[in-house]
Amino acid sequence: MPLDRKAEMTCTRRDFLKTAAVSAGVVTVPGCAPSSTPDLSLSDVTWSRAPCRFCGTGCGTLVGVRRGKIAAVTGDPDCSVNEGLLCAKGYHLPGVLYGEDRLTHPMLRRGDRFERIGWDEALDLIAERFGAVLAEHGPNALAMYGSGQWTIPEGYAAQKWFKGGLRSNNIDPNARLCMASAVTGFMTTFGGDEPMGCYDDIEHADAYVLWGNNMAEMHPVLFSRMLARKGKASHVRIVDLTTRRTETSRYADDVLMMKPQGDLAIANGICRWLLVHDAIDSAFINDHCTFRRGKEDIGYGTEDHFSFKDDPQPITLDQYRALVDDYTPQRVQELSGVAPDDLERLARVFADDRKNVISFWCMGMNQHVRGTWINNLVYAVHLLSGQIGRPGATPFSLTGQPSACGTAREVGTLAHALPSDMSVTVPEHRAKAEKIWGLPEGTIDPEPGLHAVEMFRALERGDVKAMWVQVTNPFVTMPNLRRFRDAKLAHRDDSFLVVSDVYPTPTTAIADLVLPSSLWVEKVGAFGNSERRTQVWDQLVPPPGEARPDVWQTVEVARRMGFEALFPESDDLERDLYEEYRTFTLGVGKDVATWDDLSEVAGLRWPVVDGKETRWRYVPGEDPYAQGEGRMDFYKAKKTDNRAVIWFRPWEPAAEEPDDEYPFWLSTGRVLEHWHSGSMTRRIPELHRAVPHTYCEMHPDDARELGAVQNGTVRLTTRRGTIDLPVSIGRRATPMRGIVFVPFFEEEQLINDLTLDAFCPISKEPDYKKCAVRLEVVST
Amino acid sequence: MSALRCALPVTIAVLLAACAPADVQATGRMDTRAYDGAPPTIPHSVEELGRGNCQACHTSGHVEWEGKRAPRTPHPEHVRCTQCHLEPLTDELFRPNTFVGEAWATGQRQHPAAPWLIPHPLTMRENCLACHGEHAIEPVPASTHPERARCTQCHLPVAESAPGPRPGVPTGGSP
Repeated sequence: MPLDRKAEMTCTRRDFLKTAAVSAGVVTVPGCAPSSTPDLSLSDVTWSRAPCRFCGTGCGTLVGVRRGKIAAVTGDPDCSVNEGLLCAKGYHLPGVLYGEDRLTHPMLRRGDRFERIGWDEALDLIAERFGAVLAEHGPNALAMYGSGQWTIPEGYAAQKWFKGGLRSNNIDPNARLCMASAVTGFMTTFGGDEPMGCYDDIEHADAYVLWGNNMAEMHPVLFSRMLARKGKASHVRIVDLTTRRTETSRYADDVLMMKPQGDLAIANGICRWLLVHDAIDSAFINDHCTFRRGKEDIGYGTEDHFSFKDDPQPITLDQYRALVDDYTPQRVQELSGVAPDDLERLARVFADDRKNVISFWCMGMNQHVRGTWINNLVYAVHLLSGQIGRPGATPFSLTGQPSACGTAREVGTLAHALPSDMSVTVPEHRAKAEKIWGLPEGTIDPEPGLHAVEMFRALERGDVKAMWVQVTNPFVTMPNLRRFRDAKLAHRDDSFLVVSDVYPTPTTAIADLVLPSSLWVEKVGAFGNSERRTQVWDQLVPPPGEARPDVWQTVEVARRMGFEALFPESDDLERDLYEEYRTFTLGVGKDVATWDDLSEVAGLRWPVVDGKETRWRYVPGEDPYAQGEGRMDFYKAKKTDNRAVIWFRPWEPAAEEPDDEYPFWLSTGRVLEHWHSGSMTRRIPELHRAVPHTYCEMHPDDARELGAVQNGTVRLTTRRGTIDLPVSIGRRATPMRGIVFVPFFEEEQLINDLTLDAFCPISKEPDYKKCAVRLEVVST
Repeated sequence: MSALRCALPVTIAVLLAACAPADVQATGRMDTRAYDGAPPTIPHSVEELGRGNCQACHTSGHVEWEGKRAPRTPHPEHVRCTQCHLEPLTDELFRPNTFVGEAWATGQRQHPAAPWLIPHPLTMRENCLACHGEHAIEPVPASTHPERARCTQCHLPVAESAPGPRPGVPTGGSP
């Protein structure tokens, strides 16, 4: 059926192009429409498939194009992710291309003004400035800051240019800020990145446990799939473990309010309960698991040049049992606020082996100073209870961005990574990359480069002297932003900042050179979503003015710097880069489908072997790589003899906790209507009008004690900055007492001036959910 | 645009009385949509986003309030309405946007006695009578024969390129 649909669409598009000038009328009865009938019917709209531009769900859309412009977007009924349904952001995608202030030509800073220049001049200038820095200061003075919204070819080209050409590992994506803890969680537990399950698990589950995860707003289409499952099977339960009563909580059957950082104690408490009540799956553990303990008291990374290396030590089940025994229901209550009865009810959800349980999580567990640990701990809950490897029973780490998986993780555009789970620190991995890239042995630097937070610290210090930012807006989104904004980069001679984007942002405002980029279906692209699904799309409309794809920009500069051999001339650049990248994935269990196969369907889930996708990884019979008779084969976990690791990881406090001077927790995040820093969604009238401004969300009792009122103004002050915001009480969500929540989308109200740049020492992902803040009423 | 809107072919002449200003009606419809086919925004305040609150009025399509009828949802299986339907809190814009949504849901048929073609995608609008039943809100035409539940027996999508269920997929629904 998908093949038929594609053929039909292709045919229609070709016919349309051939006869564009002909008034289409009705295709089945050409020419029968009365001449006075306006040419507004759907018949002259051509529909083509493309994945949504926004979150990591990866919904399939059909993009209706009429006379060179997008006229409509609807859900792709043939895409199993969403079966025709989208969310408000997806339906309003047409407007995202047509903000009046699209960047349409390269612009160079001259003092406080920007001057229009040509592409040749712009590209030559980057090559010259990057070349000069490279010659004078070496490859570590260069940096590239990319994105989980990079397409796969964009990320791959940047990766190859930096690590293979410039010999600099200083390339990191904004996915460091959202998915790095998920990556380290997967790698340390299973030896391979990304989920073993898929969205089909939703229809097989009896319970969903949401770990600090407001899915109703952040992954709305998956949430509606859960609600649809509940609608058909009344026994299905949603358990919402949360610090805020959210839109998700309204549909949950059980809402467990927990203190920030309490998840570490709760997960350990569940593990202890399973052991004490003999509710562990001993056969599964014997066959497929092993136990480890790592370093403890590992710090928070708030100091420059912080470094950390874990030291895993094998332990026995009995040693593990003794360690986890500290997490009695009483201690869990002290640390998390969750009462013993509630903890037991939650543990019993996992313990019932007649039921299938999915844990879902995203930023709550990843943007966490112990992000790797809490990922490890939730895997421990699933491994101990055996809630894994059956349809509907799986731990499921969701991604935030449309290609955080496909580009940042699979292509490996992180500072330590190479494609397909490889690392620059491993000689054989470097050798494989050098071979595929046609480079001499020893070309790739064995030292990991700068991760995102340290990259911006280095830029501020002056250690990084030339940086290129693509597809992201760090001068809204970096934590402890004040430090970087105070660097006054626009007026410094010792740094050269290039920013490629589609609209003016606070990041383009401080750039030395601004490049106009093509957006979404203005270019050919490929994304990879949260369930290992790779999707490709064609260019459907022309970009505005002189805007060009980011991949073209990167490759043009690389060629000008003498790396023509890395990027040979091509008539089909994106496809050729993708196919080259694909060679990294083959034979290692990460096999992505061919571009040609993907262009026929609404995506395929890797590993794709002999053209067949894999729904359940590590399961013999489902995954062609999984061997043996057992329930699972963790074949990526080579270091631990194909066994998944059950880690003991303790509770440790957050980097900064409320005290007398700063008595509240500050947590930040998104809303359904806005994407990240809002540079796209705020330009869409319907989305902006629904949430025009950010706000400070408070518990009504905290507001009453403080004297704050609805729509009044409060001043938020942390050790790093201060901001005045309108008060929101009892609207979209209500945080626990002692917590305030602020969405970060509004560039005029930079909440990240206040956030703390503490990060997980293993993943280097910052914790945007926890720092200490003081509130004062400004007006009522 | 008004010239275009005046040319709106309508199914049921009774529904659009000759004196009714078609452009006003059409404008009303497009006022709440980014383009024809986009989820309409909510033209009233949402006091409380409680579970089931929207359904109280929008399930039956029988509720009238201050002279307006609450439209019946064509997809009652989707229960979290604010996933797609937004309430505007301001008329202002962050930055101007040049996208102009088109009203293309205009009926066409081969000859005056032929059944009207379906001018819009059917995805999430499989239940025709939710919108085209007895409580149809102008300018959406109401069916003269709602008892014949299987609409796509005679009414076909206007173009083979229109996305959504193919002809032959049951798209009727109980009246």
